[in-house]
Amino acid sequence: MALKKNSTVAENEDSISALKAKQLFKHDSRPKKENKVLTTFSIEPSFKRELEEMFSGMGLGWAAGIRFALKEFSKKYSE
Amino acid sequence: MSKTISFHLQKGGVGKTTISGTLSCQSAMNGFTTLLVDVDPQGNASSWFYDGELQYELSDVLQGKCFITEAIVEIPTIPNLFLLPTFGIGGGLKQYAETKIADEPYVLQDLVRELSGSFERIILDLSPGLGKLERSALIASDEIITPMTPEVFSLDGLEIFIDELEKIKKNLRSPVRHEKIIINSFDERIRQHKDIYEAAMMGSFEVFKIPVDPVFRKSQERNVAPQLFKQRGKGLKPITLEAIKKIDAKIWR
Ligand SMILES: Nc1ncnc2c1ncn2[C@@H]1O[C@H](COP(=O)(O)OP(=O)(O)OP(=O)(O)O)[C@@H](O)[C@H]1O
Ligand SMILES: [Mg+2]
Repeated sequence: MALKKNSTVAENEDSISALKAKQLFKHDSRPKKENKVLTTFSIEPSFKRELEEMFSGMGLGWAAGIRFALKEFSKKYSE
Repeated sequence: MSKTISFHLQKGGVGKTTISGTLSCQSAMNGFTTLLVDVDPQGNASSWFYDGELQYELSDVLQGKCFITEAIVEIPTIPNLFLLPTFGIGGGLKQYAETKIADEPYVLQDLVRELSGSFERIILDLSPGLGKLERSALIASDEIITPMTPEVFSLDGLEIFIDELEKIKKNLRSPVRHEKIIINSFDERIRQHKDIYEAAMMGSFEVFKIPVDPVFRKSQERNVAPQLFKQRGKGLKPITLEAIKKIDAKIWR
């Protein structure tokens, strides 16, 4: 009788690369972040410096500081 | 508004230049003013699209030795495509990257800002690695898309890249996006390729694939756009063209 290919074993076993890929992409299931929109506004330079100093003391850059400040503001006044 | 994309993985030979060049051509062919910036001291993208001698290159612009407009060249065979070249031989980018860029990590970001008034779409072709030059280019981009080949070293490479990019973004305060990967040189007959593609689809990246196609290499040898390459009436495979169009339609949003 002709030899029949045993397809079940070979085809259902994950290759090392496939395992590695599964692990990597599973590990990476970071929650999808909402895209940010760019917004601009103008501000007095002295006030900007004051804020920048305060943010930098908190380890935040300009944009991160503004976002943080607005989040705090919205938490405080939303209820 | 102008958009800047880098196709990057620190691993070599995964198709960064091939994809940067091909998608630059696609964008230009669709009528968008497109600039390909060769940020690789090897100058592969430049020698692919420009077959001649030029006076100025990217590193001259970065060092203020010439005006941007003096260094940018139009690619005659592809309307709307422009190149800011790097000379693979006798060029100054390697030296610049080794000596000067440490003091000015935002130099490419500044350059891109200046260029964005004149070009609708900008693509940066980087060298492999994650040194100062590559970091500078990454944070100059709006989006980084990672090309990888479907094998285990690329997977390792991506894992490292995700990790390193987080640090770079934090240290240099960059909002650059990294949400898409392209599995390049994909061969659907190979089980491992399909496995890796399927696994990637389960993650949070948007996943594209580009088939293995010998026309890429041939078009690079003949200094033409892959989309325009024909040999005995044959060019890129229809599935390759389809893949390129699909990626082009998604990445510029
Ligand atoms: N989809 C593909 N099908 C067939 N060949 C390909 C494909 N993509 C890239 N190649 C070939 O693979 C080789 C490496 O590609 P490329 O130079 O684009 O990689 P790279 O990531 O830019 O390399 P480096 O890290 O050296 O900059 C080239 O010869 C190219 O023609
Ligand atoms: Mg390259």
